[in-house]
Amino acid sequence: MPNRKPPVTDKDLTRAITESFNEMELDSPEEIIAILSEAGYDPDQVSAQMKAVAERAMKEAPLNWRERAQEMEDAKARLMAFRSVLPSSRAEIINAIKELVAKLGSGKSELAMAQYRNFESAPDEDLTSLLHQLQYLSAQEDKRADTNED
Amino acid sequence: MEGAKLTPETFQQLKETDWGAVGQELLAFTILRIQNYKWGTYSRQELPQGKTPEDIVQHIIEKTLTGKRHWDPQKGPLVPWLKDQAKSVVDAVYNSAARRREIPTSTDDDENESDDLGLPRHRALDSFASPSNASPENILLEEEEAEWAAKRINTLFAAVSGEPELQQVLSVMMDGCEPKPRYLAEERGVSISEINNCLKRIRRHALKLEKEFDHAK
Repeated sequence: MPNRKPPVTDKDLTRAITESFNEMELDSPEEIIAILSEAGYDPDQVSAQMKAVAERAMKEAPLNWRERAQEMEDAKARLMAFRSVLPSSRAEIINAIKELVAKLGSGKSELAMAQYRNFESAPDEDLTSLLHQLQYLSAQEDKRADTNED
Repeated sequence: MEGAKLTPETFQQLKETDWGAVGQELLAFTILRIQNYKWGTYSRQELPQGKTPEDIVQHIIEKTLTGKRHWDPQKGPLVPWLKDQAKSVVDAVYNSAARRREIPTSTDDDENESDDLGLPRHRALDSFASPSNASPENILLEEEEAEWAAKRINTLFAAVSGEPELQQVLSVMMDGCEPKPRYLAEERGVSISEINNCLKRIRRHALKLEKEFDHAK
């Protein structure tokens, strides 16, 4: 057992006693609540406040941004995956758009279609982009339907 | 440790932590430690710039979650590590005030900056280790501190006089036993929880006397 030089002065002994207080363990949640209450805190309020501090810090954490960035990357990758199944001719693209608009209904496809009211006369690039968006919405819709069935 | 990398796995563990409960425990721990130092140091040092125990705890939670203070789960559980962080902040305030006289290092702005919790960065000198610091003012302060400590110890011993188990714990500390519950328990031949109970009772007496001192002022 480590012993040290016995305290010579009252000041030394005060220091040793303070150290012993600092080494005490907090035993139970009840004890924690009692300490907070005695010090004039409302334990529930402390809990809510600390939770809020942690939530704010988590939002600001660089790793949180990285996670968000990764989610966006994943979504972009899913969107890009549709490129491989694009029809090759302009007529086929227009047909595919019409089929998807019919499948999704006006409500779901409205946002995507808003940019291309007269889509049949839009340039090839815009048509391709519109088809991408509709395919993505359709895939999301299928996924949602699968989840509901499960 | 600051500046080390917070991994996604560690961040996930931190996200799953119940910060309400951990925050309560950490605040209670910080309050106890500050009360202990207020009892045991003559300077009656307050936290700097109107800071509160809550500020310390919030600061530690923020730094941990943003990765500026790095908890490594491989090295141990979160709560003891958080308590160590609180301990280092509180100890920095009270130890420097208790044992040393603080003097600024230089007039350089860089060296006199505060850290982000507002604790001043000082070079601390032991005023009595060096003969050049044994000024009449320091000698007078030392005498006042000795008188204060004697009064504190005498009243504490008087307060525990009817409780032999508390007297015995204080007595082994006077004999030089390391003031940690496990060593005190070993020395006294009792369990650690019994020692913890004794220390809690001694502490209650001490804080009660502290309040009486405050009222008497």
